[in-house]
Amino acid sequence: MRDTIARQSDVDKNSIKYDVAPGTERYRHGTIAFAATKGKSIDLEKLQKSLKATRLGKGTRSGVNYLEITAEGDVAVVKKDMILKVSGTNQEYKLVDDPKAKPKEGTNTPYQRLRAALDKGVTIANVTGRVQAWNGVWPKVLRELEKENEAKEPTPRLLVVTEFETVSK
Amino acid sequence: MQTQTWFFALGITLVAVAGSQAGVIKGVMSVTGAEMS
Repeated sequence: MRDTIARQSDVDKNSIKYDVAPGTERYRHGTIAFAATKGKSIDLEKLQKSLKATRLGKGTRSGVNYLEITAEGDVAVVKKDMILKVSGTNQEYKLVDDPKAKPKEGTNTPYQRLRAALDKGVTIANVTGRVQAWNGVWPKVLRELEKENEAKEPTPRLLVVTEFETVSK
Repeated sequence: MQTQTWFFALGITLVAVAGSQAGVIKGVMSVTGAEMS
């Protein structure tokens, strides 16, 4: 996975940070952090196709827990929904709250804070969130993502907001 | 970050504009499995 990510032309190879849980167990957890080459946007569809071309697309019990991205773009309120249109691409994400979030009393979830910021007219610099459907055993995840990408009328993928940054004035 | 722009049309309110136009700038993938190494 790490090598496949590093091979993407829009990923800065020097940005890759790889952490894996200690031990020798075959299916242990790990995280791979990566960043775009300056001025480029990481193409998730291309990344997904590259992963599918490896043995991850065939038979493996390994999987993905989540894919969290940080994206710059326009956040539009369409009816009641917040839609992130990613800069320089035709990708759109419908921003949603974490259904499992249980904020402490008196605090708000990142999604709620983002909504409040937009209502106040604050300019958003970027949004971080977990992309819908990037969860499960690899072959199944990659198959489902491919099906969604090939849909005739694709709907914006959901992005569970985990963080956001505003433009400092 | 550049100029903030406002659009009001057909019930769509563009409320924020980011500056660098870079798109997806970073990611973190949490995974399990031997292929990680």
